[in-house]
Amino acid sequence: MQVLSPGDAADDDLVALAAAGDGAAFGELVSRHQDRIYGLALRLLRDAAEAEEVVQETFLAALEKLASFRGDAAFTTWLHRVAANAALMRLRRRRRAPEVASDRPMEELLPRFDEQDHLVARGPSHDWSKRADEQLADREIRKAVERAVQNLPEDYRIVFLLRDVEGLSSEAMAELLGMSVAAVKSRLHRARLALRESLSRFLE
Amino acid sequence: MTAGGTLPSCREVVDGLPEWSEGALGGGAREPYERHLEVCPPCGSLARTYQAVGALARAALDVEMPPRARERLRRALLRRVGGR
Repeated sequence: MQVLSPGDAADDDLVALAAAGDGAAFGELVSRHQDRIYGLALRLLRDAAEAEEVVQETFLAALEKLASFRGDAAFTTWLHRVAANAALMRLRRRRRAPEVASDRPMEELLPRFDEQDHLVARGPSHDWSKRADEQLADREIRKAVERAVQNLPEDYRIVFLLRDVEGLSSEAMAELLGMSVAAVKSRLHRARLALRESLSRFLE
Repeated sequence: MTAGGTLPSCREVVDGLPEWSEGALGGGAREPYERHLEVCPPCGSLARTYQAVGALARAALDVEMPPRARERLRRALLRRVGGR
């Protein structure tokens, strides 16, 4: 019989071992997923201490649920949904406090059309898509991307982060946010359009 | 920019970006859509940058959990396991 170290095992094997009480297996699962869960919480909450609390809540909850997971995808998907939900609940609690109205109106960042439905270019049609990777080496560009995402109105920022950065499905997001799938997709589309416009202005 | 003839309008192209970027434009819609992107530089550039935004944000917003936070997480989990 071949004995694998926890580092070589697949997630679903580790989940089964952890459910049977193997602490090293659970430790390996935590090591594998902690950065992504922390990143998810930090990007949504923009507060390191709160993000850390969300990570702890998520893995403590996972510890309780270990026996019910079936397969690698189930565990990973569950972790992301629990963490997203915990972060969203914190954001909702914050909303009861007065908000700082610093969001640039979305309309200004969305495409405009003339009477014939032709796109009205806001400036030179600058295509930075092929240079995106090399530009990321530039610290200023990374900051610009962070700022552009942060400047999205919160409802749009949440949808963009959960779908395009964290990879949640539109259906999972609709359930988490209490919206229809169509509304999630529409909001995501506008968020992407606004973001690419903000970045185009910076990268021109 | 006039796309011409049977091609979709710029507005239709922008509205179709979610489907196009996911490779989900079905039937005969894909060819005229992409022809529009070829002949209309503003739409072509908008479509390619729209498609690139997600990957750019994923790379730019990547973070690691700080070592002290990892240690606090490890201790919190050990406390829970030890308390059972």
